[in-house]
Amino acid sequence: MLGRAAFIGRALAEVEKGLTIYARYKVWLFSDLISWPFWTIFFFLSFLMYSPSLLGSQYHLNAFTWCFFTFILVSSFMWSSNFLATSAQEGILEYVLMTGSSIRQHMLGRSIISFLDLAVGGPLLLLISAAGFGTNLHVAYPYLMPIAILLASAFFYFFSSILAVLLVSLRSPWIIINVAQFVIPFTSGAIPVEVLPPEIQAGIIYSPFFYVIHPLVASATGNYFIPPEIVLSVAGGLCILVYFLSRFLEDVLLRSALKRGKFTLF
Amino acid sequence: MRVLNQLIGIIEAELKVLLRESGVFIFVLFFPFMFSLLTYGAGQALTGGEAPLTQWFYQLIGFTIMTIALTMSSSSAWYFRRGMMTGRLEYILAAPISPLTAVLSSAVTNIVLNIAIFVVVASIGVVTVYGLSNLLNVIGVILFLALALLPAVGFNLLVGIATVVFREPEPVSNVINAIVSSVSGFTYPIIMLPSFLQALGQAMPYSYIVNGARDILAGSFEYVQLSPHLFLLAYLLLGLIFFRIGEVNYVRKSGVHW
Repeated sequence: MLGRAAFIGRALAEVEKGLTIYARYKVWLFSDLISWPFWTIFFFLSFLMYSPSLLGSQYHLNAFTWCFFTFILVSSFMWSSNFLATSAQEGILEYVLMTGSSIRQHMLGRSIISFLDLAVGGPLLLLISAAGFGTNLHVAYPYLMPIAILLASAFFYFFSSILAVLLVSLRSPWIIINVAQFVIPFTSGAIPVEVLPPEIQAGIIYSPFFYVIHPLVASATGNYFIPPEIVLSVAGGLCILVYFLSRFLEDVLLRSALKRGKFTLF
Repeated sequence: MRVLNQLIGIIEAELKVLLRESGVFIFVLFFPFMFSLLTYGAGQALTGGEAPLTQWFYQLIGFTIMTIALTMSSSSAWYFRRGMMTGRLEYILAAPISPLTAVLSSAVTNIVLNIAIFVVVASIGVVTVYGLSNLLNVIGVILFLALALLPAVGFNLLVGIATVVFREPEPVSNVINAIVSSVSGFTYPIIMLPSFLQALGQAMPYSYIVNGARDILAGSFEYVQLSPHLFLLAYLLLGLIFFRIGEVNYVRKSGVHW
């Protein structure tokens, strides 16, 4: 019982740390509220430049709105991967681990900020799309959407832990994160599958990220490429897999750090 | 002469610092290709495989200039932030050197490196779309960017001073980057924007820079397109004035601690 109480105490301390950091930098929230509308316009028009007539298609506007919602979700969690490297560079990680806390627990505080980013940025994007582009927002499967969001959040929380462990020794991990935050969602189902050429449609199902990302867009458009029960079951299985993989890699990193005195797997 | 020596000395030091961070260059080189190919792929999907290669080139050059613009504004913000965190800015202010010389040296270093990056990306784009015959146009762009990026330096001085006031560079550069990226016509014609955002885009230097660079590379540039750039030098002047005001009234009085 003592162990469990200590675990909960440490987890709550990390949550409190995340909330305190978020509340301390109010200018960040202000900055996000101003910049998100502009980034939304930028992403929308960069894609739709190829076919401006789609700005008149409610189906495509709705689909692309959820496509960018997916991007915000992935991006919010991916950036938390940067946290471990920063924490190691600043010498904080060693002290945290001396308290008996785990790497995953330490990441929890940063992930809280990711959740808050999504909670602010997601609805704001939907609002901007509706107000700025006149999108009639529509969710074809409202009962599946919360499940899709929950599974995607869980998956990317654990996935960002894995990425953080792999990138911990890099001086500039943000470069890889910056590339991955675009490549992963836009090549794995964020762009509605029905608008893709048949060759890409045939290949996209081999990406594991597809099963986590596709349900977010498909629940809104109503066009599931594979039956929802199969996609969501595979997504659930992948969440369990990345959870165990993140635990394994954290253990390896910790053993390596204790043995060699530095945080790196390589 | 003394100022020139100081300028060259700092540029050399800044170049060494920047060259140590090779990852940044790989990113700046890779990013325009990655993003333009991503949107081109989506464009192919949306048009049933009929997206012309010239549109990919349009976005490739746009993303490259955009990356340069964002790197420049972020780098001046980070220059001040790092200077404040490490105490270096206090030493620069106390040293017998104008802070403006130090800041401009950093900006010049960025311009030189960014033009080098642009040459690599643009050469690949030009050869792919227009063939070897247009490759010499890249030299014209080098001269054009050396002049056209000067207003951007003034713009970055404004960002730098805002960083000193607000203490945090990322929120400041985040807002400015978002506005600059969306209204400057980097990746789509600004005519697709609402009229008030078109006006905002035309009031800033970047739409003229990106359109000029594209037209030179395509061989359709006309000298009349240079005229707005003379007026845009007002940004450089504005940046210098605000920097001086900020330095005298804020930085010197309140200090530059973090």
